[in-house]
Amino acid sequence: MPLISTDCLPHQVRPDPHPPQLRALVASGPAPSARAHHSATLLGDTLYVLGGTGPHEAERRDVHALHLPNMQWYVPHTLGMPPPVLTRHTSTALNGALFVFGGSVRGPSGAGGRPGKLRYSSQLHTLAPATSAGTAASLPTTRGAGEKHLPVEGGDAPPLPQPIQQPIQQPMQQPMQQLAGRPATVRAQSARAHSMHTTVGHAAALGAPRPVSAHSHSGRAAGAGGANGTNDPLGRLLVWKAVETTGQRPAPRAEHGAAASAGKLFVFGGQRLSSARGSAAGAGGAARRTPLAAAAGAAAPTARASHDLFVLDPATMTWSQLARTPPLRREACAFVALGDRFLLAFGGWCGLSKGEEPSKTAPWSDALHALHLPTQQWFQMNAPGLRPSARYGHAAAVVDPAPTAAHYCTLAGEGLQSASAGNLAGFEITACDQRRMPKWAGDDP
Amino acid sequence: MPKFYVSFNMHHDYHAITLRPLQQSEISRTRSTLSALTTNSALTCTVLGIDHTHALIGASPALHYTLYLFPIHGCMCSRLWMPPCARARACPLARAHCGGLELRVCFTAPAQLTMALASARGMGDPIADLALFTDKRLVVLGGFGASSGPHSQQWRSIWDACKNYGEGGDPAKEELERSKGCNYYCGDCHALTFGAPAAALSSDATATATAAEPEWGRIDFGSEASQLLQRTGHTLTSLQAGGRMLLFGGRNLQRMSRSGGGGAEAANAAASAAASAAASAAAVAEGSSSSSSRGDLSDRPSTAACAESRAAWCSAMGSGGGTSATTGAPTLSTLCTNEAWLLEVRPDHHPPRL
Repeated sequence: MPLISTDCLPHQVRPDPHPPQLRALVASGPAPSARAHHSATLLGDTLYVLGGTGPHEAERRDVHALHLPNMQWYVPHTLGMPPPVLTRHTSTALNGALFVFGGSVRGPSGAGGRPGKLRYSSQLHTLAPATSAGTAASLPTTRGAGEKHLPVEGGDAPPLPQPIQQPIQQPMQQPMQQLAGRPATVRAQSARAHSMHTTVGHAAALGAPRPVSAHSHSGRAAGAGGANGTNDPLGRLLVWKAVETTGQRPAPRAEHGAAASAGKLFVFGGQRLSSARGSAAGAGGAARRTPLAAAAGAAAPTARASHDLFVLDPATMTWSQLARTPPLRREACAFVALGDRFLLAFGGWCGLSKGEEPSKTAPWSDALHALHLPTQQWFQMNAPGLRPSARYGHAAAVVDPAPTAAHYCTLAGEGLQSASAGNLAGFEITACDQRRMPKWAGDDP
Repeated sequence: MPKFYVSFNMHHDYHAITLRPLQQSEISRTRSTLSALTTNSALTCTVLGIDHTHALIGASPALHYTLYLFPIHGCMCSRLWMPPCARARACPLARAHCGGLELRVCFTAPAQLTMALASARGMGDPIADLALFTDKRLVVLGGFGASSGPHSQQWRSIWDACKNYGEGGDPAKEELERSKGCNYYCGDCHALTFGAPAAALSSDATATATAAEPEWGRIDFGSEASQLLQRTGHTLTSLQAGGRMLLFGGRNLQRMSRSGGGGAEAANAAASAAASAAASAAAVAEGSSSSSSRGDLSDRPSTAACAESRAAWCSAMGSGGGTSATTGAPTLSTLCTNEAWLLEVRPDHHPPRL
């Protein structure tokens, strides 16, 4: 089957020799339980699945990982305090860490089985492999385990869940920022992790673990350690850190979009609380979820889609808000980066404006907006062809299937100019295809 | 862009440094090794690690960069190529000590990498910049929504009912998703190309990019896959390896059992078991045919796996009716899945090497 219908690509006269395929992933180890509204982010050679909701809307705060070289699911060791909310959040790979932002958690059901109220989070956490001098320890954050949560917006919702500490082979209570002076036992484990890496690499070459059936297990971390294959095959540790940010922070939200581009983290749109006054003055009170409070005429905040765009500089952990955004408010949209040049937002739930007849429109959108980062100019892309219908709750990714031409790859950097003996210097290797075009990853600066 | 962290250390002899994706543990190990190195008379470049491993990996699994940094004192310097701009930006310390630095970036294959120091990028034109991504695709999968056709407006009645008999606000998304007759789950997959694909252009490697317009197309995985893709709240992650993506999780409230939570749990279990069974069967088939299995992807025909999983979903959902928000007590039971599917828009018949 052709990848793209030939009637929409008149210049493509030859059938695609590589038809698209959909295949079941065969992986060993305990797969994550069934869930939705989670995040799955690639960091290095590992795909990390965070949180989500399972059956009965049960919020999960666990961490699962799929080691791609070995195709093995496992439950990584984590230290530190995970975010109180890991549902309808975003997780973005940036600077060797996962930046986890926002999310919502639902309170207990009310009378008559009505769904509980939503609470929204504006917290920013990082989840990174623990290294003595790596990203996890060098991020300018943070609070360790046992410290207070950042405020979560959402009214009279139940207390936030307690932090989870996933299984580790040995008791390790201290946060990883203290690893510089960690005890000898931890150092030994770290050294063993290095050796394990080499061993596993050879083992993978000789024959991988036999693929077994994936099975579900509790969202809570299993108590068993490495005996049941739930440990990191490389022996790595992951560290949760709450990031203290400055600047113009984004409001608590969920079902927003986040992407990393040009070395920065962008957060766009999403469902957030806003006052009724703001709703009326804004886009017509679209997507209201909660009833208005009756007391003294004061309007209770209602949930609605938003269209604001924030950017976080990870070097300074400073938020700032970009002024220009498309007028369309949306949540549960697709928001991805295209290299370091574009941010793309497609579709999403936009609700219906007040007074607008549902027969005239729909609460979901098929608009594709792009932000050109160098000029910070938004524009709407009305691409022809077989375009997807209006929708929300979809998923999107930027893929780069073109082969790499080594003779067009380049090495760039200012390292030679600025570095001296013993200092670090940053280089960039640009992989190019046969058209000399850089091969952008799409979600990594 | 992937960043290689490089440390300059003074050594007696030149070293050939292989730039390759390093694990995080390797990075820390190398750094600790470097800290013990002593400074000597020659300049050595040691790779500490790559920060964004997957970006490079996805670009070229077989690519192997080698960075040679030659001694400053020696006759080899005059025979090595170095761009003038790089020479001008050479390490000040090296210049001060030795009066020059030769740097050469080679590829293990005969082809030689071109070294270019960072150049300031202009502001650029948005349309022209799109031509930089002619081989890239934005893939959109699943979701919930109806087109504006006459036969896809059932949600209007649900919307009105929720407005009239509810609390006055707009209904939540979940209310529409679970309402009977509102099966607007999208089981399709689309791709947006940002220009003419390379395969459709000249095979001349020196062909320049063309500013072709973006264009939507549909990726067809077959009729069996349509129901598998009908979900929301799922994730689609690019694996950065040959156009592979991983589809994981999600839910379909139309497949919720009428009996509520127990039925939903059974449905979840059935769906998960079916996916596991399909995966296991594929693994067994693969293992019997090849002894070099490394936890690889299934070679099982996609249609068979799709059919098994689809059957499980369909049998679990029973008659397929959800609990209408307007006719019955709402339930929060949902049919989620933990199925993991690998999408390949251009399979290269090689496992992902990460």
